[in-house]
Amino acid sequence: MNIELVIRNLAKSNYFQNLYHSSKEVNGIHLFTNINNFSGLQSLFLYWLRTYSMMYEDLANKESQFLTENVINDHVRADAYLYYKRKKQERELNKYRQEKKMNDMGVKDLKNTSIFEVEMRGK
Amino acid sequence: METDITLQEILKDIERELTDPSIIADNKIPFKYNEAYYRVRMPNQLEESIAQTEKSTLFGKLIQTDGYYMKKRLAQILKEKQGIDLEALEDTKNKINVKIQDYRLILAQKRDEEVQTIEDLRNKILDLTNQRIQVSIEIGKYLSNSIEDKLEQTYVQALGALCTEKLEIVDGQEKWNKVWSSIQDFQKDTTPLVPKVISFMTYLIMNTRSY
Repeated sequence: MNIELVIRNLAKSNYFQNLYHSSKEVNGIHLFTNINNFSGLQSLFLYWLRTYSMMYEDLANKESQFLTENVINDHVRADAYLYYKRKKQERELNKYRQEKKMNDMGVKDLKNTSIFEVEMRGK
Repeated sequence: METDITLQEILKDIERELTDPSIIADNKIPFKYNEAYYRVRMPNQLEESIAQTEKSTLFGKLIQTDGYYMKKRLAQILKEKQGIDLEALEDTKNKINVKIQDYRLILAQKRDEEVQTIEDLRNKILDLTNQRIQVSIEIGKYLSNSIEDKLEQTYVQALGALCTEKLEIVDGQEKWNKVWSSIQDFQKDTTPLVPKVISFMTYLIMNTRSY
């Protein structure tokens, strides 16, 4: 099995997810024997630990109608979910920026308005 | 020292061995070789500095030696002399990436009940991912003689030489002793222990430095 999949399977396991949450709440609980100078494998593990923790939170909060335990347990579907979520957040951020820009310009009817960038050049 | 092990072989080797939680328990990788116990550990600041010096010294030599080129120049030579277009390969890789992302967006919006569609999309993504890996391997092979790659190999070898320890029990006391007394000793060693150590060190330090 691919090393990243081994790391991901460990990171999403109940044991490490529980340990991760406990370590955030209780001082003295450590995930690793070492507390600094993390290896590349440990850094990768921490990344997936946080990512799976976030996915489990999304699942609990019913963040997406498509997210289920089956998605979390399948790395291809989990990757797809993470990409979809990122794209959705980007779209929402762009929409917010556009609306803010229009509000700042004092435009009231947002639906029927377009924004054009105009470059002003002096001679 | 030259080893014929490519990065891909290194990764395959390590994937076979690293399958249990001990790989993240601490910043060391324990392993067995010829019935003895060894470990490769993360370097301390001094060892890191020694490895960097090895790298800098080699750079000074290679930059003045005919036949060694930086990646950018090597890519130009490969195109001019051999007709190998690495930019085109990079472009192929990017196009595969775009396709993977497109399929991911579709897959992410499928419900568990759509079993066959999910399976088809999974297979397409896995197939494209394999294609991308093959292209990356091809690019990697062409650039493996670049100065950058030689420096990276030297850096990993130096760390391997400095940070590999063997378990010895003396009077009932466990002691982890260095395997090689110097980088030169490591370079002279032709046993399979060397590529093994390089494999483990490669994984141990991945993503821990800014390139």
